[in-house]
Amino acid sequence: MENREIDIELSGVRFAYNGSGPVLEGVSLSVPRGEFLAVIGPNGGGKSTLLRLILGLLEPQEGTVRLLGRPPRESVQRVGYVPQETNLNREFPISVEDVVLMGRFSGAAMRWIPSSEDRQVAEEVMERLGVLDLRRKRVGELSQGQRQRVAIARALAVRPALMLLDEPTASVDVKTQAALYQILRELNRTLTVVMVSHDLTAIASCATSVACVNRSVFFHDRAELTEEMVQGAYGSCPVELIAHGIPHRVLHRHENGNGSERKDHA
Amino acid sequence: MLEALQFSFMRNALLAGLWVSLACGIIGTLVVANRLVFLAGGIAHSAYGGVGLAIFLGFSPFLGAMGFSLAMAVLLAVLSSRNKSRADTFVGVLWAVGMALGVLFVDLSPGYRADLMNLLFGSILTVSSRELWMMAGITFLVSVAVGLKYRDLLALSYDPEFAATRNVKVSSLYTLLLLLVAAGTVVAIQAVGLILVIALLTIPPILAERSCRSLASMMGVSSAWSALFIFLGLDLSYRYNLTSGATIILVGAFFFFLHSIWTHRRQA
Repeated sequence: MENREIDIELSGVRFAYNGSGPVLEGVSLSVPRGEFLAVIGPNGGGKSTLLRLILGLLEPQEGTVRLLGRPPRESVQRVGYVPQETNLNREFPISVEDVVLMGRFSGAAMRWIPSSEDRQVAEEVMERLGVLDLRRKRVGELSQGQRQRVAIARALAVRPALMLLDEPTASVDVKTQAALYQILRELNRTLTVVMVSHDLTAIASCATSVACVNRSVFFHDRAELTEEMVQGAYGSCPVELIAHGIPHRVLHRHENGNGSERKDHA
Repeated sequence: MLEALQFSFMRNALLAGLWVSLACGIIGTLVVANRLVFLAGGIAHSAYGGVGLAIFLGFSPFLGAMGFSLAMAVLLAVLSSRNKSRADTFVGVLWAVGMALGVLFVDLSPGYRADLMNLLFGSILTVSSRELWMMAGITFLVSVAVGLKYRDLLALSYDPEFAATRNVKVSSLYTLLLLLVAAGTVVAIQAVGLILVIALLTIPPILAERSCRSLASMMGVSSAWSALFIFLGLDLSYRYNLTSGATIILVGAFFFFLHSIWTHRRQA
């Protein structure tokens, strides 16, 4: 690997929510520029917490986080974030265009009326994601897949150096999923992408590296899974199908599995 | 109702109705969009503690309610920022504690207070000119604050996580939001009382929500619905000698059920 800049760097990170055991412990991870990192792991394993730490929305109790070479709070404005969609209020009175314009917000100076540059950027990203003709619609009227495109457009309106997505393809159908992966692959030509996903086919179709999160983080700098990573990440609930390119590769559960090429990056 | 306008109490009531409509439209929209209905109910009821304190110490119950509910808003913001998943529990506790304090303060005060019923169920017909000025001033301040912070409040209401990545100061903004909800709620209490106020904060925004594409327009449409309920309710209560607060709420409820049936049939 040539000398690439490191966009995300965590070293020795530990995080626990108030009064409960650690969600993440001893986490060290570095993501070079241009990478497409798929973050997988079981529910409650700490995937979303990891993203929030990277964004600076949470502060680790131990260890350090660097985002684009700086403390997260200083660089978060250059990140396009696509949060999990599930807790959004679908009845919210807002148009697609106004959602995308939120990507142009910056805490310091907020205008009532967006500037013409903001409008231009919003139009451009809506065009790119194929939602420009929906701009006047209420977000509640959109399909799940359309809403995800709008969320990605909003993140792109930030003009990000890095995209962070939290399960962007949860609860969309397979066809929409494939279309979203296509979009993300294209974005990855110019941007570093980090995507939390439940969907192992994401690794096959877009990722250049994989991190398995289950209290600790196993980093693997290729888009494949070793059995040990999967066993470690999914614990007692083994994953039986692992896709790696096409055709799919299926691994069976080993009882005495000695992992072949796990790498713990420092 | 036109001949009723010769009475100054009726003119005051209509003017008060105007301020209440604006406060309800703006604050009710924020309450519904941020799913703060239970919290707004808690703030309204706990205001009774302030009413009791004011009676005990002998100052204006309106100011007592205002001070108490603003303090409650800050307390809730602090508590729920420490433990978000317990926020509804804190609301439940403060709701009851506020009312209980009010009852004890009234017990400790000499004499019988007929105007307590007014605070519980509304007293728009007995609003004094002084209270009218206070309502106007608070509504004005609330409108200005919402206007200045509109985009921040929009970002917070729609998606607080994304807002935080855009450097919106989410937790101080949330405190501001709760303070605004407290102030708007106390204005609305003047019309329908602290027990019934929650309907006036929720019905107009729910009727407005589906037809609006922005928070601002939802605030406008909600204000119009509130005004309609208040003026129709006042008219009915004048004609048939009914309690104004309850009449206003039932007028709103009538429109709410019509709307529910209509949307249900349209979807079916």
